[in-house]
Amino acid sequence: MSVHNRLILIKYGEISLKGANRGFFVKTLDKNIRIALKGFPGVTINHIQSRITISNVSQSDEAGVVERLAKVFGIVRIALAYETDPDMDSIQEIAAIAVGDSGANSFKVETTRADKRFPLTSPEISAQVGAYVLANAPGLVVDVRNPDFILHIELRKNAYVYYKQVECEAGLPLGTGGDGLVLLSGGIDSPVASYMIARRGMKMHGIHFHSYPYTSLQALEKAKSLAEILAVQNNGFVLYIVNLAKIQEAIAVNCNAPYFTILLRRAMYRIADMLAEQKGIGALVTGESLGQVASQTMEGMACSSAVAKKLILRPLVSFDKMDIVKIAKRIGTFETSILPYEDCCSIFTPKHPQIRPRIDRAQIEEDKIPNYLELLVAAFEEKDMAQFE
Amino acid sequence: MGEKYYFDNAASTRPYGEVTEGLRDYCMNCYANPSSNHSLGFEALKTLDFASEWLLKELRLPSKNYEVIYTSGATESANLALRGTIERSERLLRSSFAITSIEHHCVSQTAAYLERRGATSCVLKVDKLGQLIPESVSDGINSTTSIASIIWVNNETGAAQDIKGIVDLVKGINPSTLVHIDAAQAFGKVTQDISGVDMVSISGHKFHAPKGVGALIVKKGLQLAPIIFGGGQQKNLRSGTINAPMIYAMGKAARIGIENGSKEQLQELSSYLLKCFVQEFGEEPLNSMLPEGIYSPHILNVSFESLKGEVFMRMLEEQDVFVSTSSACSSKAENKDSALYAMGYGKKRVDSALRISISVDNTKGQIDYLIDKIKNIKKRLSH
Repeated sequence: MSVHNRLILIKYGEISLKGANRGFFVKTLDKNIRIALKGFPGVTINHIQSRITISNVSQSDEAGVVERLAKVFGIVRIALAYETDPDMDSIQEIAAIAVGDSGANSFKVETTRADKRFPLTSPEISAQVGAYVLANAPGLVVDVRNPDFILHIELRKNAYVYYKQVECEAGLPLGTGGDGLVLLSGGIDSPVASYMIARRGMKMHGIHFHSYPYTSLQALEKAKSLAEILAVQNNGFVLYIVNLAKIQEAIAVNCNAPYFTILLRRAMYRIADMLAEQKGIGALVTGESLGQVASQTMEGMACSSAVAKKLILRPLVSFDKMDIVKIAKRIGTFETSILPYEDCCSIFTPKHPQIRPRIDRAQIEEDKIPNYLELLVAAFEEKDMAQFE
Repeated sequence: MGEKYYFDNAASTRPYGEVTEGLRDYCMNCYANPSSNHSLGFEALKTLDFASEWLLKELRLPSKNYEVIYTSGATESANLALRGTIERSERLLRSSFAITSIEHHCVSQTAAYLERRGATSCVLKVDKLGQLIPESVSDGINSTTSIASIIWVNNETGAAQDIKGIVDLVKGINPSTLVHIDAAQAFGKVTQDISGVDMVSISGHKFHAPKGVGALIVKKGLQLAPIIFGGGQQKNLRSGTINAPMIYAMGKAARIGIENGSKEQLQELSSYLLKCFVQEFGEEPLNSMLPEGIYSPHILNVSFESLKGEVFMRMLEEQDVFVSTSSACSSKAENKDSALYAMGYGKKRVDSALRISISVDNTKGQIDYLIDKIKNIKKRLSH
């Protein structure tokens, strides 16, 4: 019997096209994979021509390793493969073993020949291996149009044979897209926004605004729980916590009620901008979605973010709520987001909020608050921090 | 850690020091299973007599007529009282039963469960002071009523019922209707002749015993169906190893309460609290305590309508003062079951309600501090 290893074959699609930056992307992905597999100390990570392999994975760890890798941004697909010598005898033998546990009726073989020195062409290899499997696995038939599974053969320095593949996150390796600061409210949207931007390679940090004692400590705990969930795919997560109670009180005392919400949003953007500047973070990320609530109209968004200098990313702006909910459920933040602790006390919520606020009017309202800038700076400076692994 | 100004004694009390010390010694020395047939087991079993004596003494119920079933607390006791009565037979499962409109969830949720099982419930109404309306009792009780469950002292407002009057009224209409009293908040705070009742539920942690122990006091000879099955302890009514150490602790707490005259101390503190509060804020915010005599001394329920109770509670918490509220800031998490609604108060009043509840652990100095902090918060909001 030929020598073979079982291993996990990692496929990264988009980043292999990145030209001169390819090295940086792959190196970052490698680093992220090592972080993700910290809990599996025995495994070995190798690179072979646009593939990364994970070997020495014990049977009992395999499911856990796969599950963890499936969450690493930049990995498109992983295959549970057999590695063997690049000769037809070994390949055929291992192919018959590999399909042994498939439980399926029909299959076809597809060959990728990265090593062009191999004496047979890809179709020839597929045909020969197919014939061998047919002869050794009674009951299986070949169906090239609609097979139950595809048996893949990849010829590189060694040969890789597999049919089980797991679709992964895709996206880009975390850390290749700079640093972002998400305004994390505790609701459904902002964790999804954070996830989506992180998936494009941006390392996320968070800022949570609360109004204790107007809001509850449970609402703050909820934001922390969300940060902890996001931390897994973000290689950790730092959450900055800012209390806006005094600012809300000042707004309520000095300003026109219809502008309360928009003024509060502007205060959040201002403080988030200060924090981003201080920490060298390049972009603010929000979960705003056009028209979802009174402050998320076109005018509302324009009016609130006008106070920030940083780039503002709103990945959900065109999403319907149910699409956001679907993602929230998939990434595991939904159950926490719907816990019944409101992030903002209703006493500061006007009955008739201004849905088409004007920037100049908002400025006039803010000018009514004595020492407003000092209040904002004080809230910023008294911020708290929570860090999640 | 600085001083904590704890005014949430209706939620739970701090166990007496003597109780926790006694509990520790008891655990170390008297660890045998009270159901074991040797002398150590028998010694542990005697603890139950000690505790029963003091519990019945506090309730002024004669031990020749009543016995005590030990439970994990008033919730389990109320479940046993109601389910134990109605689940005895198919006929009873189709019977009607009565509860008041201001019951604790341990009764109202058990009632909802029994309704799902086929019984019919009737809700007895209270007036705006939280007193049961006699006509509502006469209308609600009839020849098919198997059991009536009455909360002696309401947990939100402290409204106390005239138990003897109610028992007479109920029994006058249907002598075979059982009367169960939820005395979780009443025990150790109010006194009355309740000798006609059939069952009484209590919780140890409401009167300075630890959490996790309570009792259902039952008139001797009463038939109940068990709701917990197992080794047949406590005359088959409550299987499970008898929690002798906690029962001991509860008995000791009852005894200390009686011997130290805690009711009198509480009454004095209560009068002081009411006096100081009214002096500073007038009578308008009061949802309880006045008129005197129909409320338990340990609960003062007030509303400052300018602010949600939950926010007020947290503003006090910032200053180490701990009170409670039953309604939430969020409109989603509203407490629709608030006893204040049953008393006819509107949403704004209910949403802003604060429950200040005292025990003998509190001092007049702490009450001064509390009043001062409330004053400051009101000032903070009136700019």
